[in-house]
Amino acid sequence: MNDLLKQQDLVNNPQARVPVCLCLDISDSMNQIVGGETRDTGRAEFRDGQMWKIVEGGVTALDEMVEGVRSFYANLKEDEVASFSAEICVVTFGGTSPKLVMDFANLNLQSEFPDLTADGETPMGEAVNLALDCLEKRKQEYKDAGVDYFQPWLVLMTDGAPNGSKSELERACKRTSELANARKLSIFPIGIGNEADLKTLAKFSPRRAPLRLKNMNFKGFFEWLSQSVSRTSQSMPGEKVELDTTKIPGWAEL
Amino acid sequence: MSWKSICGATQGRGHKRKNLPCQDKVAQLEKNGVHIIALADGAGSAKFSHFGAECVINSVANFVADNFYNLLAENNGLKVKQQILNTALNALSGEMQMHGCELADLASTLLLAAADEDNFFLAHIGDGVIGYLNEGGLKVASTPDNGEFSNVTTFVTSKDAQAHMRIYKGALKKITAFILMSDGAEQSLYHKRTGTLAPVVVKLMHRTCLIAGNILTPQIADALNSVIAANTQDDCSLAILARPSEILPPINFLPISERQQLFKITGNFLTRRTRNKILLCDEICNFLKNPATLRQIARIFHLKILPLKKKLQTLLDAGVIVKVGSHYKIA
Repeated sequence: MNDLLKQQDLVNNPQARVPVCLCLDISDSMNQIVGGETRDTGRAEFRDGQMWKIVEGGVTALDEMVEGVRSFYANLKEDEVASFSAEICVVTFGGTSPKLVMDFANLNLQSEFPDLTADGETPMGEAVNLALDCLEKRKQEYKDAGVDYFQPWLVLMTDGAPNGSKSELERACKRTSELANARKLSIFPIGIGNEADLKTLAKFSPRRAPLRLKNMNFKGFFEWLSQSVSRTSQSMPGEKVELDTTKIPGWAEL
Repeated sequence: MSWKSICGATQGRGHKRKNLPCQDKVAQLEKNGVHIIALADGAGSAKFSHFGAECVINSVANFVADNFYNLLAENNGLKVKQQILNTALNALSGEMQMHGCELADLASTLLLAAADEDNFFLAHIGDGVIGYLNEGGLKVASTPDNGEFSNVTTFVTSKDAQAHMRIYKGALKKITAFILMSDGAEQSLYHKRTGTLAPVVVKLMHRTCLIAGNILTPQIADALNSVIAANTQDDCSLAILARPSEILPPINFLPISERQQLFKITGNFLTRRTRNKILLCDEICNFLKNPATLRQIARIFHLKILPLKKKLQTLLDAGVIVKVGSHYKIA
């Protein structure tokens, strides 16, 4: 034991936070079957801008994404530093409007990630605006509480193209571009499957090109993301955190 | 009463894991009647920042010691900032040649406090905190310059270093101590929300006055390593410049429990035996305000040489007295 200092003599400053916002597409098209055994019902329906053959059973893109997000949480909780630093917020877009599924909080205080249901349209612009509003609100809360924080991250995942309000989409692209150019936001646009509109995704991200997820490998992507968040949470002033690009080909088509 | 200084730096847990050197560097200097402490935190991403940090503190500390009165007399703050930056950058250019590296590879912050009997000068670039103590209590002179995000700060080598550099000068009046800390130590000793220093900093300042540097230095190193470094991944360092005053009084003004701790006497001070041991140490320390030999002390306290020598060795080990040649005196 040290005579000069004891832990109880020290001030208790909270650990610097890494705010991460996941902005996830749960429009009807995320019900597409990507694996598992299926049985054809013989029916077909027009949903989310496309004609779909209706089947029973199988694993949907949404199932894979939810499992990926849950593994993201689990990986971060296992990391000594990231479990206290990382804060995740989840915004989904489906139906007619975006929804805040999980607001920012310490990982250990957040409830379990819920099951999601895919339906409706792709109001992507509205969702990104809601995500940015949540980020701004959280940053202000950090400032008010004297909590240091790292540059926020925004992950945008979609399997299609936006079909919400055009003005909201333009406003969202402008906001993310301005923040990314000012190095105040790291944005990761990820296309799911061949129908994802990478050209629109690129409009959100002037500094980092969108990537297309390979073979629905959500798990690979979220594993890479948790490792990147973990490295950022341990970085120190003046330390430039390089993303591990060598592992990207494992989950993305380059 | 004269200034005394203490400093220490320890490798952070993150650097231990990555097998990187401690990039926090500290220096203390007394020259031309000017006492200086300096601290620099090498940038995590700069591969030779530990060399850069060392170079910056040594060059700037010597420059301030040699030009202390000119810096105080100069009313053009920009000129003072430029002189300090030029000193650091000139020294770093030598390091660049030595290591065959770029200037950015040597990036570090800079914190410095200098004082003579009446005046002080402070300089700060980047994160970390400069604090001081006067009759009004512990105060913060210069706060961390972190920008918006946690892993961003300004370095001596940054293009905008001059614009971000902060300097302060003035009459000491009742300022009796200064502390410099890196952002690693800041995590434990500076409350970011309230912008205040941990009260225990006063204890560290007081010990700087009361305990010999050779005894206190390893204690500070252990406190950094075993207590402060446990709260961060980063390297941790601090430097203190302090002199005795009404706020940092001599040992005999301290409560008996604290004196017992300082004299390394075990037992319950409520018992006569322990209390007498403490009182004897009090009297010896009081007598040793003026240097004295072993025989002179023995004569005054009517003690035999051997037990007195043992007692004095205990006080030497505790750091409250020092031995210079054949004379003992208070630290």
